[in-house]
Amino acid sequence: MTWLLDRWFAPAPPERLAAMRILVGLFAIGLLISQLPLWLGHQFVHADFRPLGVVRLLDHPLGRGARLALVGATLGLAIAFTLGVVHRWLAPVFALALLATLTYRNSWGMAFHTENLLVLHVLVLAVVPAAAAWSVDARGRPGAPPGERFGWPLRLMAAVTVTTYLLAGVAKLRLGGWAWAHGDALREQIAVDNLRKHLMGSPMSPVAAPFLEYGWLLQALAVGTLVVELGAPLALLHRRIAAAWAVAAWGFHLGVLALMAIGFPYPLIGLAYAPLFKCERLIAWALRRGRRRRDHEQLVLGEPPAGGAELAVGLDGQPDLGEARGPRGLAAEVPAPAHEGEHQEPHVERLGAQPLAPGVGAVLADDDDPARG
Amino acid sequence: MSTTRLYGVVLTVVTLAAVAWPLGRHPLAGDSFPLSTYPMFAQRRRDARLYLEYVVAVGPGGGRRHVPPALVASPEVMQAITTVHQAVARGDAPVLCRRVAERLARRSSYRGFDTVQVVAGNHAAIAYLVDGVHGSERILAACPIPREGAP
Repeated sequence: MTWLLDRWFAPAPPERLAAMRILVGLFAIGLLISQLPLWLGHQFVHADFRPLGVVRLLDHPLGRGARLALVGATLGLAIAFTLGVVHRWLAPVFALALLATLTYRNSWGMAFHTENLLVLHVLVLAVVPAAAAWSVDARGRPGAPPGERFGWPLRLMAAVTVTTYLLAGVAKLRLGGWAWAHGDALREQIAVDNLRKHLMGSPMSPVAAPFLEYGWLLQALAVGTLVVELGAPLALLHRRIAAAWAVAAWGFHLGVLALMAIGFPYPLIGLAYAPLFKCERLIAWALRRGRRRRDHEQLVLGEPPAGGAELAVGLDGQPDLGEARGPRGLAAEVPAPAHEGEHQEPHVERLGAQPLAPGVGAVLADDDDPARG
Repeated sequence: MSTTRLYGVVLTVVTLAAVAWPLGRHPLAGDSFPLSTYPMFAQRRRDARLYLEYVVAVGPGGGRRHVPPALVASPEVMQAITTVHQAVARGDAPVLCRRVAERLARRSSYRGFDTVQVVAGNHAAIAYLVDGVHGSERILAACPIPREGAP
């Protein structure tokens, strides 16, 4: 039990949790903006109102003004969440607003399954110290050292992700039994879904019809789907399993997109799996690029570039990587201390040389996660 | 146990219990948001048979175009399907038909069409897609696309 707790509460850098806040926040902003035409339009027909979850508290659908106020407030709160503004108080409000907004959107006769994980991840991020770095809240404060309070929320988010896949696998077994693995159910689903789109005047997958004739391929896909879904919890055990699972799950969603023209954006861009990885490296890379561009522009204008030791490092918060940390938590090329005679290279250059994981541009969190080997 | 750990344990247990809670519910009847049973793609559809109500625009020569969901009800296919189905179930197919016809009247890309039909189709999806074999259809409502200057 102690061993399990120690693994669960292994320390992580604050930047990793902050990176999740920024990435998830940006996704939420993009999603809400992309859905604005729906909210501004007149597609919410009162007769179709089928409240789900928290929206069951409503007896009637919201009026247009209240609906727009809800989505507008949620969008504003999403921006505050992403920037890390008064996170302790505003983030829980944002989480509840996003829950209400997206539940309302799903309360019209069809529950989509593309936004569940986003809401669940935001609910977790809202009640943990996700703005201890790379945030407005953290400006002017000394950087927080890696700690256990930054690690377990990421593991919880990863556990939530794998649980949702497990649930999907269990649903297939409960509704279709092990016969689901034969591929017939998948074949029927692909055919019905594409025909439904065609009859509704919506684009269908261009590869679906020829694909339906290959029974053995469908069986392989069905078996693969069950392995990915039922085996999802194994991703929490070992970093290599986590990497393999994330690639397989991502491939599954790519297959769904190709064969059914159904996009699950949250996993497709890798956010569903980001808690398993050192996702802070993506933000650090973006910050480094932004700073280089700014320095370049200043040089062109004949101004001395800001940077050097003035802007402290803290890209992944790993003390053993020899970073310095400063009030703004931005990236800079401060060399890591090297032993005598060793080649010394800038810390940020080492980070930049890491391979990118699918979708998230990050590497596995193998130093302090339960998924480590 | 430190406060951090206590908070972490409580939040972990509560969150995972909530996310896993739908395991105790029927995969179809128990689906909700954001706590879901994730029943998508799980159900068998015997013979891939699809019964669906949809909307088509028909031209004078009999040419047809399936009207996209955004012009019927919602940009979301599944939500549009629900709207059409519920309209038909309420006996409002003619109302839906007229509403769609008014929308199409404002679209230049539908100038070659003069009628909107709400249709109930019964198709075998694999035969339809692979062999091009269409099933049966029944017209539930038909209405003209109003044109300026038309009688």
